Amino acid sequence: MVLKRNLHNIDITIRTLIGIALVYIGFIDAGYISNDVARWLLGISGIVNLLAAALRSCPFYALAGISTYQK
Amino acid sequence: MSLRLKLILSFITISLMVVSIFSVVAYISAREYTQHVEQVRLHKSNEHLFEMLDKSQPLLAQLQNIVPHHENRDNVFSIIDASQKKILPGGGFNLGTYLLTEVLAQSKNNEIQQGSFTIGEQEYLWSADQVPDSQYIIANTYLRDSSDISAFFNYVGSPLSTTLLISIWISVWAALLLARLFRQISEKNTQLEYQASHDLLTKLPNRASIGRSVQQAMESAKANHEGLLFCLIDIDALKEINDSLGHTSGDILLNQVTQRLKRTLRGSGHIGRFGGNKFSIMIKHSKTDNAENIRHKLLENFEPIYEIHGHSLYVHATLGIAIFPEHAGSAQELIQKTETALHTAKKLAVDSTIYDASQDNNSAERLRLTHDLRNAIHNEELQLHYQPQFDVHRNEIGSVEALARWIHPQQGFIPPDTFIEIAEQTGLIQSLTDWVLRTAIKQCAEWRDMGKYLTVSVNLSARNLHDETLGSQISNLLHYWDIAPDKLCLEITETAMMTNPAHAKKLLKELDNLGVRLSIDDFGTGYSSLGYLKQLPVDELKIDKSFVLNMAKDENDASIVRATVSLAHDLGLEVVAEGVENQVSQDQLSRMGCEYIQGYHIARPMPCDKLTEILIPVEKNNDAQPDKIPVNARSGNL
Repeated sequence: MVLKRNLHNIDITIRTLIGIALVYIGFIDAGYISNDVARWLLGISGIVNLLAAALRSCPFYALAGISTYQK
Repeated sequence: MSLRLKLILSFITISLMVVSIFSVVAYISAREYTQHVEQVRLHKSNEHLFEMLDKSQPLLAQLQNIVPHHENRDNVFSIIDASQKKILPGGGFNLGTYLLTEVLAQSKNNEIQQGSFTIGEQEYLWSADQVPDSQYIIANTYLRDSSDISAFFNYVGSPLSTTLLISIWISVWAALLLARLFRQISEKNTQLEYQASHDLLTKLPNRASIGRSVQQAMESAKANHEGLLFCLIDIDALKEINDSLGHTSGDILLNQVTQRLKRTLRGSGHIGRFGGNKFSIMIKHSKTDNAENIRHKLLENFEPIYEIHGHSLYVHATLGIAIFPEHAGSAQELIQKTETALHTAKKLAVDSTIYDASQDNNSAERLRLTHDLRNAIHNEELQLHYQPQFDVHRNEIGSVEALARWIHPQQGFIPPDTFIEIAEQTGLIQSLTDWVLRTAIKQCAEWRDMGKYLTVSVNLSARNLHDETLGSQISNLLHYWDIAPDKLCLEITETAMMTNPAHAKKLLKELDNLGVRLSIDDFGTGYSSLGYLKQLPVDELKIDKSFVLNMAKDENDASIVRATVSLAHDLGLEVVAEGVENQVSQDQLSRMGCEYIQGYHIARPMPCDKLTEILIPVEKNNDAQPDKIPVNARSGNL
């Protein structure tokens, strides 16, 4: 499946920042959240965001027919 | 608020509610569980205390001695005398009144003794146990730490808020997805609704939609006592343009007509596409006086030339107009009356007509007549009259033409043209022809039995030429009454033969094979090709009466008749002249060599019994045949 770009640069930047923050909290520094399950969930969310930012395409956007690209 | 925003907000609310409910339930459960754990611990401490007691020593003294040594923050004891219902000195708990009430209340019911009570802000948990084999009860009390709750939230807070965050995230996505699905569905619906109610080419409302609009407009017109004009425009040239220039050109024409109509009406009327080449226009608040004006305005649309693919075309249109409340009382009726007006305009070959009840062939009157005709044919209420044809060479009545007559019980004489047209249009013609054939052939047999073997002519309609059973039916009838085939003559109008030449030719061949005579009726009024007529197996020509009527005065008509007779003879056909009304014409026709003469000068069409009366005396006077049937026997037969 070819992923069509649907993310604007601002969108990508926000996702990257959120993604890095969540991965940091989730997997790197366990000091913020003591609960393991919560950390894992946050970490995975972070990875999903980073992936979408890297691909410049959000699968949910594609499903929902939304695009922030060129808008 | 857009659907998307609504969905996002409601989904976020739902996820917040779910997380809140979950938190409350978790908190309550955690609190109950910790209470249970604490109470079990308090019971255990009590039992531990009892184990240290020596049964040989006085119990109360021992208790009062041991208890203070075992008290700490988590275990505060009270010694209760169950029989005296009071707290004895020795325990460290100083809020005994509450405890006493609680413990005694439960001990009465022999329940497991544990519970809690609140004094001010402080909650106390307690577990009480009876000292074995005594009236003493030891109640162990624990002051619950209020920091328990904050500890609980400290512990579950971060997973809960993470869950909340993720559930909000997921619900926003779900909301977006649903919004998209809803939008797609509603777009599809709108599209389908549009397609169902509009013509896709011209983007105008279609017939179903027009019907609804007229219905609505009529309801409001009725309520406000206003008029409503409905007009149908038939683009006559569309089929030709489609055939000659292609359907794309036809489509362009339809669009151009739409644009022009829109410009003319400027929003004052509702345009619709009623059917293939028909447009409809509905104008509200219209009075009969306006109709003329509107008709002219609409017709003006078609005056300028249409340019299509470089072709300049003059497009002719026909209009039919009907008005509420003058012409119709319901929407369906209004549309129907408009259609009638349009048909009338086409029939009269005029640009337009406004509905006129007197020209309406589909009126209730006609409908009733159709119904009555059906009954009349079924009940054999029609009469068959016979008009004699004079055989010039033999100087006698050689044949008769059978003509159907209808005397309506209420309305009296109905002209044959009227009821035959109804029969043709309603498909009754087949049963009508059946009846005429049966009656005429039977009559022919009766006359033959009386000694007068006449040829009987029966008229066939264009519709009969499509009846494939006609040949076998005639053959059966002839066989049944034992009539020689050449004593039956079938008259078919020139126009009927030309409507579907291939079909006519096939049927005529079949009839010719039976041996019946075939005659071309009303010859000279149609546009038949002589080349074609030559191929048909006909035996005679009937010259139309319009020529014969005037031939005494008009030399041109006389020439036409002369030429026709000569032409027919050259083709080997016999000639019947209709409409002979005077001796001059009869003499002229005899000189021309015409074989048979028919008309008022010879005899009018008459009922069979009257004709029988005429035929037989004529025979007696002129004919040498002696074997005549007595008059009384004849009338008995008829």
